[in-house]
Amino acid sequence: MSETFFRIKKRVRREALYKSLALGLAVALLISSVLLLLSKRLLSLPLPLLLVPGPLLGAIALVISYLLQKKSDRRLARYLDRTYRLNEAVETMVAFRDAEGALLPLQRQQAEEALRALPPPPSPLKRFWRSAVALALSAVLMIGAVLVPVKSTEPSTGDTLFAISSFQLGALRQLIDEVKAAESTAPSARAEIVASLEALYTALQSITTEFRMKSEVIATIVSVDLIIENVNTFKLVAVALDEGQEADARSMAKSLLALNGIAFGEDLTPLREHFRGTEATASLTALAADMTASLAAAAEEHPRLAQDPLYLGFSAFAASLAAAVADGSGNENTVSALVDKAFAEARDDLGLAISTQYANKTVCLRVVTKLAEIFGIPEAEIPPLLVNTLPTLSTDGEGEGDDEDENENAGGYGEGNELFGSNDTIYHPFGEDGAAYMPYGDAYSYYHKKIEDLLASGGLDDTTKQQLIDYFARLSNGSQN
Amino acid sequence: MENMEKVKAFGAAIARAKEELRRDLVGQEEVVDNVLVAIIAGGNVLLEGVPGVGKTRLVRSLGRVLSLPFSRIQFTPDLMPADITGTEVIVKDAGGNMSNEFREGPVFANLVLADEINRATPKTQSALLEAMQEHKVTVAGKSYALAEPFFVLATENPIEQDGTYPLPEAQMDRFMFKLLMRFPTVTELSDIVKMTRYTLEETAEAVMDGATILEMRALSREVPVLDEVLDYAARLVAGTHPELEVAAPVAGKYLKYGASPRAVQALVAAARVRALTEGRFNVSYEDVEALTLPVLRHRVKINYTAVSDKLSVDDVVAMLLKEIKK
Repeated sequence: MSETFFRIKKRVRREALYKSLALGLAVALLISSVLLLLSKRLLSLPLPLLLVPGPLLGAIALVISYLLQKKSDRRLARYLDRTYRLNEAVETMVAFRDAEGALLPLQRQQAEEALRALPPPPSPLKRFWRSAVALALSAVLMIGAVLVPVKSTEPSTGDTLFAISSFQLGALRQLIDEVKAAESTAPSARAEIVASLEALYTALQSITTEFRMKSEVIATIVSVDLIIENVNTFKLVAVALDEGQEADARSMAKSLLALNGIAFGEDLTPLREHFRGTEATASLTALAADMTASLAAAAEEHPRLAQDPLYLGFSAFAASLAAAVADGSGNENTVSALVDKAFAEARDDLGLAISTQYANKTVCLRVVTKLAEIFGIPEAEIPPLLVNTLPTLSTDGEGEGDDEDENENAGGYGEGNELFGSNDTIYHPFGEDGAAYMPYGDAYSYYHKKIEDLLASGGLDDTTKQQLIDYFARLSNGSQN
Repeated sequence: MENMEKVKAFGAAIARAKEELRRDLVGQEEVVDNVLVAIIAGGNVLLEGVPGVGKTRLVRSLGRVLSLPFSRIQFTPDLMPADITGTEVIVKDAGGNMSNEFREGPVFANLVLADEINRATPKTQSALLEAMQEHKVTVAGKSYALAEPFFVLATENPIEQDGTYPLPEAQMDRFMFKLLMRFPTVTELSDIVKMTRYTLEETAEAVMDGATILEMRALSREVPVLDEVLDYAARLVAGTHPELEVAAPVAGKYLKYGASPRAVQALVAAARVRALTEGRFNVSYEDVEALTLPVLRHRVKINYTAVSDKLSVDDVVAMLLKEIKK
């Protein structure tokens, strides 16, 4: 065999080995970097799955590449003939290397001369540049994969910067003025809400992260909700009435609970309607006594009711009813007139009390909606409002009051007249695995933790702090007050 | 080394022969090259060309250059087989005794020019063709061997078709090559006039002899051929048969029938000689490709589709070469 051919063969095989090594390494790096990126950003991959495929596929690529590039003598000869236009001299030499013939020695000599006359191989750079580029690219990819941070599964911690805009300040100021002008609300509640909003207004001007901003706004929402929940007593009074024996009282309780824009006219018609079935004064007497007893029991349990206008209004109504029955006779017309008289006497006090509490709730919802709108807080991130959470009443008198159960501000989750137990499922945007439906108790834990952090941060005024503490204390006690 | 010297000498002789022939024949380099290849390979050539392009002059010059006796047979419709092969004549010796004596015909030369072979009758054509095939002549039951090397260069006039007897395809197969002598270019015409201004005689000088040609022929048979190159030649020939599975698409579309196995033999034999005359000691794909057209041109027949598409047999063979991959 020609020495030159043998030398060329060795060189070609060596090159094939180097190129295959480079390819194998490039494949290993490429696969590994892809898997690393996937595990960091998308999937959680076990360690073997992260470490094994790259080198394994790289080894396979190396072997296959070498086998493909490693030419047999005939293939190499053919390659040389075609590349350098040697007219099949080398291939003939290889094919007939073991044969005898008159011209074969001359043919071999001619082929050897042709091989010797071949130009030298190109520089290593020209020969290996493709392999070098592939290796470099895969190395860059691997470095990139190593440097890419792991995707955080925690919800946004508010690292996003925040700076309140003049528009937001203006809108907040407008809201404060709106609340100040809401004269139909209880003055104390109004003042407290204004104070909360003013505190928010001040705090937001120094807050620099979105997380803090949202925390402040949600804290204010919670605070306002708590303020109104403390001021409004219609739930307590409704529960008290509902605990009575008389069906008419329970019906009134249901209507009272609705508080959905009842146009309490001068004759308190929505409450008055529940008395159409009453036929005898004895039942009115029983009703009055029942109401009085229920209300008294409620006042014992909740001392603040003692001075509450709504409580006093209903107490006075019960007393008026009892007095009217005592003065009147027993026929139906008279009974109706007696009821009308009692309602007429209670009209101003009761009507005002109910209107005020309705206005309180309306203002609360208005503040919540506006704050969410101004600061772009999605509805899903706003905690369930107490003002939308209604107690469960007895089933008697459901038919009459069903249409009044439609609570346009039911908001929250579930029916408007149901409390959420710890196992009731709600939508929580900040679950461990992202937004999900989960038991209320778990969602509560999240908010409780956040409020704890907020309280510990020292960024709240004392009044807001106390309100939050009271609110969560009551929630954790299962209390509705 | 002896073989090396021989090959070098052959190469030089061939180059000189071409030079000498160019002294007598202007242009037609490809024809000259292929005629030399055919002579060395032991084949015969069919030349096609209009009158006056130098067919006869070529053969006469060849005879001088190769130092081979040359004869010319002008084929006419009344030519008889005996006019080609020779015949027995009765001779009377000095003693008055009568005996038969064989008088050799013009075919008894090393180089025979069979001019306008298509003008003679098939019977007369077959007499020559038998001589071409067997290299011997049989007259009155006796065989007479023809001198080696024996080479027939037959011509056909493409213009005159009336009163002609076209060679049957089976007989055409006996010619190794069919070469086309094209009409000279304007420059070549001027050169012809200059060259023949004073004399029409050929001036080429002898370069080699018959023994040398036979030696070259024997040596050419030793030139190795790769199996792949052999396979390529076989696929080219098989590809001309439209009825075969291995037929090239162009054969299926444009050929009526394909070449016989003699075509592969002719192709490979000629390729060996070509390689040797170019100073190479192995046959290459290029050798086979260069000789495909002369070998196949007269062995395949185009169909009416090719005629309607205005394709010549040369066009079809060129397309075949593109379709059959190495």
